[in-house]
Amino acid sequence: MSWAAHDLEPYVIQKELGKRVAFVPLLIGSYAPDMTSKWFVYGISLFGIDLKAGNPAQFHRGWPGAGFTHSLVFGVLIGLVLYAIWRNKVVAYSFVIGQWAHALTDTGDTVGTMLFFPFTDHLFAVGAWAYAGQTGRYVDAGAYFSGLGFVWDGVFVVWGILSWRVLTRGYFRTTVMAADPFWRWAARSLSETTLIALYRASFFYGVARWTAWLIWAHVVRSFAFDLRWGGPRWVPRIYADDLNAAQGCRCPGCCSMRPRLGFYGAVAACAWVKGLLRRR
Amino acid sequence: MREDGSPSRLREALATGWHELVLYLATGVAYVAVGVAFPELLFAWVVGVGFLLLSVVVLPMLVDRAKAGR
Repeated sequence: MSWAAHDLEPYVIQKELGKRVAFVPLLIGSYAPDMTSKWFVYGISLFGIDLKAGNPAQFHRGWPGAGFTHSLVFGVLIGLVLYAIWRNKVVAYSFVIGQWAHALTDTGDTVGTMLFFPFTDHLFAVGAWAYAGQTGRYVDAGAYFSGLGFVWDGVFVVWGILSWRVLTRGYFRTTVMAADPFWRWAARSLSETTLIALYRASFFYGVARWTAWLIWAHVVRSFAFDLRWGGPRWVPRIYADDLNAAQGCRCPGCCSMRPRLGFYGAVAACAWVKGLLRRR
Repeated sequence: MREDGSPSRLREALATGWHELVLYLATGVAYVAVGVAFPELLFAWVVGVGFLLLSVVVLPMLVDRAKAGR
């Protein structure tokens, strides 16, 4: 999982694609995979009742579980639903791009994501930093900001700052508002200063939170830096191999899942998105 | 000015928006300080956005009104 990249990626993508993307669906897409699952991974307490997944990593990234939210097909399906509702291709594929960015970014940890689900439940993991969501959110924060995870987020902090043009008022008026119907609708009742603050909010949140967690982890608390691949090694890590009970399942449904099918599906989806972008 | 509406140079952007930049930076420093002291607040996106809106929209508006009322 990433702690700031999902906040900052939409601004970098906005810089690259300009009027060809709508910012709000792009941002919602970037948050979407964790919107429905993260609270249950860390657990919450409601009216004295503790709600938490029995196996947080399996629930977050696996199948059975909510891991399908981190698949490329999930983004396409929600994109199609959005298209059916709004009949706006830019809104639909902006969501898809945001969701894909999230799913691809999360392959960086030791658990990874089921990118080609439902064609295969294989977890694609680069394994650069430890997945430790099962340890609770404070230890997870300490671990993430002690390993290569915070470096990866740092790349987006720097890239986001280098994309400063997308944060200017002129860019917001000329490019962001022109491409995204949400802002034109919101402009009927909100001032431009409020709209711009809302537009910049996730950038602010991502950069400030990245800074605050780094200070908290290494100044307030004393988590040890460990920038080795797959680190930090002082935290109990979960690996892709530890998840998905269906790995050994020989039922016809599971046997029909093939990574090659997933690959072809992803190529077809890429071609479709590229075609949409060209037509615009 | 570029085609996308953004200033062509950083210096140009800072000349027109330095006041706003200082406001955002001060808000960021305050948010980081509060977040380090009470890390629970860092988990909620809504709290971060609320903090920003309060600092860069609501408070300056109240200050402007107070100045106008004098």
